[in-house]
Amino acid sequence: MSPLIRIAARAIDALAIATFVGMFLCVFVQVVMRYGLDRPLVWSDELARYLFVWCAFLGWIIAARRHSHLSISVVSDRMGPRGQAVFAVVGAVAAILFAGILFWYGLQITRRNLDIDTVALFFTFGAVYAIVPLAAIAVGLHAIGDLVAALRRFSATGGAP
Amino acid sequence: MTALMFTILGAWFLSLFVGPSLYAAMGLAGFAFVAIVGIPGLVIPQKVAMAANSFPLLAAPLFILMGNVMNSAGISYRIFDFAKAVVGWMRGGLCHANIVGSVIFAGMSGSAVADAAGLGTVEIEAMKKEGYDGETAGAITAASATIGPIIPPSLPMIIYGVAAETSIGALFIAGIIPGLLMAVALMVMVRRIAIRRNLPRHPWQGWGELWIAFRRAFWALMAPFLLIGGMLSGVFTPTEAAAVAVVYALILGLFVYREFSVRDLPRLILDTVETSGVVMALVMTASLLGYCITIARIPQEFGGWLTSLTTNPLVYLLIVNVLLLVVGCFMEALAAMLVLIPILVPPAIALGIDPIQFGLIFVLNLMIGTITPPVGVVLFVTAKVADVPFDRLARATIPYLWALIAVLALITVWPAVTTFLPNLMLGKR
Repeated sequence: MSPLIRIAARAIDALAIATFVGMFLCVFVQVVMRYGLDRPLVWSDELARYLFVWCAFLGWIIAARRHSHLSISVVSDRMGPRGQAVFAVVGAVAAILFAGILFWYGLQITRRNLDIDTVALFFTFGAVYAIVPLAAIAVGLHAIGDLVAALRRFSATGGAP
Repeated sequence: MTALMFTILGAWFLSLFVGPSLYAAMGLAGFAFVAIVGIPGLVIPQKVAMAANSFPLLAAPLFILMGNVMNSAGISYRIFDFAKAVVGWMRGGLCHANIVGSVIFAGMSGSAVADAAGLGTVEIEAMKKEGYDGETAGAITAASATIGPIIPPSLPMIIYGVAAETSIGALFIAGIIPGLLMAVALMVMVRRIAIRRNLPRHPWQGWGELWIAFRRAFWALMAPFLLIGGMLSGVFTPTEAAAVAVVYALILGLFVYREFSVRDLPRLILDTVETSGVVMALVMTASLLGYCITIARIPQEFGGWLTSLTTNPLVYLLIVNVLLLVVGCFMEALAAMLVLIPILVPPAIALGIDPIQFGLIFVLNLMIGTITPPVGVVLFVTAKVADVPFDRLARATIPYLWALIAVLALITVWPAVTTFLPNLMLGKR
């Protein structure tokens, strides 16, 4: 991995931890304020949900980096190295296509929501949606990396299948 | 449109075996429908992102963190030691302890995979040390891990509750009796196998030993009571209970058992975010697919076709059971659940089937699916942990499958098994 990619991965990890902790604290503080101090909060529920949206997409990126997204491997497990390389190419192309779709429409929905207010918070709904195109870029880049690796394996196993 | 969506769903199912990530295949199937029918593409990021904009669903990552913390806090071997002291003296004692341990662990973890990978590692190691072979140890570990998501807390039930708009709290409570029944059924099966194969047993260690094991595991044993009690008394919503449970698990790990330090927390949280990302990628893309299924009027068409076939709830449940068991063999449980909920739930409600009972049938079916080949996540994880070939483990698990299917049959024909507790605790819904 080049240093740039490593720094980006670190930043995503840090952001993921921050959003998760923030989300957890929102729920926990909400419990404490409501039952402990009898002073319910108006914003904690909403903020927790938006942080969860971000957290879900960040987890999506991390899972893509660690190759832990679920897939069905019954058929590919029974293939030789060349067949597995072909399957990996298909998988990477599918991920790239979907990331592209999410990026394109995610960008549009973010721009449309830039001036739509959230209910009880200081930012607009655009900030919630902004993670969609951002995550799509990251997932797409990971998938492109996977595609290159899969194509290399394919040519390395070249010759007769 | 219905025919189009059926075609897309069929193509999607077949495409899964060519190896793409499940989420990418679901997302592309959704996109194909949206593009062909001419719905504005903005619906794609909207459905996908807003699926996570849900307070009940937020319980999922919190329970995942709790399970991760519990597994690192040295709670798994404390629980297994306690279970060994309770039932280890029976023939095939470690098999029984494996089941009892899973029941206790089920009260603090919501995922069968986490049970098999966390507690399962401890159990299989201990069983191998006592001369059990890998298949015997792995089979009972995999089978008993399916209890995890039936006894609360439960990830599949959180997701079912959100997707089918059913009370998560009621689903949780409804799982208690079936979960215990699964344990009983498995223990009966273990007893038969143990006598036939003359499996080893421990001498009874006496009440003193039991007391010591109980004291060592005490704070871990209290976790399920805190969780279930908090939700039963109506103090917490499941999401809030999850946050409180995380705090409890952290205190246990950091201060009481001191098995990990604050420095381990970033790694635990990152693993949690990763697992949540895997789960949420499915939930979010399935939300898009579910929207397409609804727009294509598949529930109405399918429901109409089904009700022309039968108006008997029991026959409908039988068809659903067979369908889910077959689908469970070939599909990953979560993805199958998310796609089938919008199709199968509306006809069930129309036929007057209790939504809680239906939820339990749904989840138990798919949990059985996690230990059936060729696609069985729990079986897969356990085979790795036990270091035995997948197909040999699958064969060794068959007797336990029958035990679980017996429980499934019971909750299908007898609604009270699932509806009694929630009605008692939460009042008639």
